[in-house]
Amino acid sequence: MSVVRDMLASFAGFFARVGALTRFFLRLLWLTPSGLRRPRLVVEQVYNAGALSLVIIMTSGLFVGMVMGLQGYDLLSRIGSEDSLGIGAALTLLKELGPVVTSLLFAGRAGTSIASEIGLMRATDQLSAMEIMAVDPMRRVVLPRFLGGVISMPLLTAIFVAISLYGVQLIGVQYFGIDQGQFWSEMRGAVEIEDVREGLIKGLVFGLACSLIAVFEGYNAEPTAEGVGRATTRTVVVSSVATLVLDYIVTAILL
Amino acid sequence: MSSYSRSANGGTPVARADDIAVLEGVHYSVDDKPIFRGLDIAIRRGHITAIMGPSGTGKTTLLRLITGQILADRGTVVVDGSDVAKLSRNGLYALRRRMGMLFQNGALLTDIDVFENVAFPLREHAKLPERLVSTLVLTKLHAVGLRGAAHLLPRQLSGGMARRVALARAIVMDPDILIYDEPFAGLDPISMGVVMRLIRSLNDALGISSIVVTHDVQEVAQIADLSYILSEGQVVARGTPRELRDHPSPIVHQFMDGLADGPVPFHYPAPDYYQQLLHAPEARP
Amino acid sequence: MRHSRAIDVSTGLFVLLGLTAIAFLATQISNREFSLGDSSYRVQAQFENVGGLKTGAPVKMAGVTIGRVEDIVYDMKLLKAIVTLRIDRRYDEIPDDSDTSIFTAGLLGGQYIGISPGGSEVYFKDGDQVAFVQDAIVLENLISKYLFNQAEKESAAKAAEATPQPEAQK
Repeated sequence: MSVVRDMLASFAGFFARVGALTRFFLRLLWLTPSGLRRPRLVVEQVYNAGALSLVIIMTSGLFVGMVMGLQGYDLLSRIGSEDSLGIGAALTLLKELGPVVTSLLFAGRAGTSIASEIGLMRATDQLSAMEIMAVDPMRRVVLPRFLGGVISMPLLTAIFVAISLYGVQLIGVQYFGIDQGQFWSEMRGAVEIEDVREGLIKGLVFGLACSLIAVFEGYNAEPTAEGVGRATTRTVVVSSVATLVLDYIVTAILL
Repeated sequence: MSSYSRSANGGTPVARADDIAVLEGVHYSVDDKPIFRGLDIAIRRGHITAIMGPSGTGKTTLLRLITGQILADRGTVVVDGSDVAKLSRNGLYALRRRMGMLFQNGALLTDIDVFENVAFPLREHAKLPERLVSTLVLTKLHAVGLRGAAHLLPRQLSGGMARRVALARAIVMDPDILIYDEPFAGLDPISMGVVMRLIRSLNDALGISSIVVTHDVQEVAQIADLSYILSEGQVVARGTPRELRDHPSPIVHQFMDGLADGPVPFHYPAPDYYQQLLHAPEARP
Repeated sequence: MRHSRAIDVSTGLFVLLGLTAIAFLATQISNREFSLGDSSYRVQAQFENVGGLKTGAPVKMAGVTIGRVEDIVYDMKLLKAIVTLRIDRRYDEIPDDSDTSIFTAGLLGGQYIGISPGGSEVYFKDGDQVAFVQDAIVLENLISKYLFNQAEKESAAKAAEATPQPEAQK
C-alpha cells in the first residue's frame, strides 16, 4: 500500500534529518574553540540574537508577569492563600514559564533572523563564494551565529524572569495590596537555588536547540526564494516543538 | 570594434603538459539523471578557454567539479597537477587559494562594504599590515575601475558594478586560475564591453589562465582563445571561434547562429497536435 | 569598519543586564544559599532508623539552618545508619552532649535534623561522633507501639482485677 510506503519514507526522511542535524551539531562543537578566538564575530552575533531581542523579551516578560499576578491572585483568593502569590509565581516562572516562553519568542525573533540570513547567503551564492575563496563558511558564518544564540538565551531567560516577577509584584503588591515584605520573604522561603539553576539550565538547553535548528535550516535551505521562506518557517516550528519536548526531558532529569 | 582574440592556432587540443586543468572521461549524475557522460576538456595555461552550450547542460556543475565542490562519479579532474578527488580538505583549500571565481550575481557579502569585500580573502588568509591590505585592495579596485566606490555597500551598486567588485575580489590574491560563471549575463552593452576588456587584459597582464562559462556567443568569440561546446553531457565541438563558426555539426550551427529550431527542438515533447485538438474535452455546462 | 563601537557597547550592556538578572534571581529570590565549603566541619551520628531523611536535608538548631546532611550510609558491622552532618564553622560552639534528632517539617513534610543544645562545655569539632541521638519517628512503629501499649494496659488491668491486692501496709 502506497500510504504505508509514504509513511515509512517520511519516517526514514525524519531519521535522516536527525542524523544530519547531529553531525552538524558535532561539527559545530568541534569548531567552537576556534570560534572563540574570533570574538568580534561572536560579539556581533550576540548583539543580533540577544540585544536586538531585548525589547520583545522585556515587553512579553512584563505582561506575562502581570497576567500571572491577576490570574494567580484570583485563583489563590478562592482558596484563601493570596499571600502565596509570590511563591507560586516565582516557581512557575523560574522553572517553566520563563525558559519556555523565552525560547519560543527567541525562536520567532532571533531564530528566523538567523535562518533567513544564512539561507539568503546560500541562495545568493555567498556561501559558495566563501568556499571557493578557501574560507570555511561554517567557521565564518554559521559558528558565530550559533554561539551568539547559545550565549544570549540564558541571559534573555534571566531577564525575562526578573522582569516578569516585577510584573507580578506590580499587580500583587501595588494593585491588590499584598504586603511587599511578605511577598518577597514568602518567595525567598520557598525558592531554592536549585530552582534558579534549573531555569538557567533550561535556558541554556533551549538556546542550544533553537540556535542549532536555526543555523541548520538556514545552511541547508534550498537556494531559492521559496526555499529560504520554507527554511524560516521550519525553524520556528521545529524549534517550538523541540523546546516543549526538551522541557519535559530536562524537567524529568532534574527532578 | 577591434578583435580581442589571439591568432588562431587551429589544431585539435589534446591534453598537454602545460595544461592547467584537465578533465578526462568525467561522468556525473544527479538523482539518476546523467549530467555528464564522458567529458574531456583541457584548459590551457595562460589562455582564455570558453565553455558554451545550451541552457541546462550543466556548465555550472562543471565549474564545481573543477573547484572540487563536487566529485565526479567516474573519470578524473586534475587541476594544476593535483587530482581533485584525492585532496584532503586542507589540500583542497590550498588549491582554491590559487583560484579566483566570479559568480553570476557577484556573490558579494551583503553586510560589508566594497573595500571589505575585496579585502575579505586577504583578511581570512593572511595577517598583513593594514597599510598593505589597503594598497592591495585599492590597486585591484583601480584595475576594475571602481577605486572611488570603495565605501559603498553592495546594495548600492548596479549589477555591472557589483560584478566588477567581485572580479577585483577574485584577483586580490593573485590567483593562477580565474573562473567566470556567466560574466555577461544581464549586462547592458557598455558593461559587457567593460567586462570583456577586463577579462582579456587581466588574463594577459597577470599571466593567468581563464575559464569563461557562458552562452553569449558573440561576446566570447571576441576574447576566447579556445572554446568548447557542450551538449547532452558531452563535448560536441572544440576549437577557435573561427573554427566553430565554420563547424559542420548541426547543433554547433544552431547554437552559434541562434536558430530557434534544430537538434535542440523548439517543441517540448507533446502528443499529436491534430489529435489533441480534435479530442479536446467539451466545455463544462 | 563595519563593526562599529555601538555594537560593542550594546552587546556589553546586554550581557551586563543578563548577568545582573541572574545575580538578582540567585540572591534576591532564593534561599540565601548556604555556601558550605571549607568553612564547615563534619560530625557523625548513628541512627537505628533514619526514616525518610535525605542527603541535603537541613540541620537546624532552634529552627535556624546551620548545616546540611552530607551523607547517609548503612554500616554492616554496627548495623546502624551513619549520617554525616556538615555544619557551618560559624556555629562551632555546640555542646557535645546535645541531642540530635530527626524531625518532620510540618505534618507531612520532608525530614530534617534538629539539634537541641545540651549543657556540656566541650564543643563538637570536626570528626566527632554525636553521643545522644533520637531516631526518626516512623508512623507504623508509633501505631503498633500505641496498640501494644493499649493491649498491655488492658491485660495488666485484667490481671490486677483477678489477683487480690495484698495489704499495702505492713
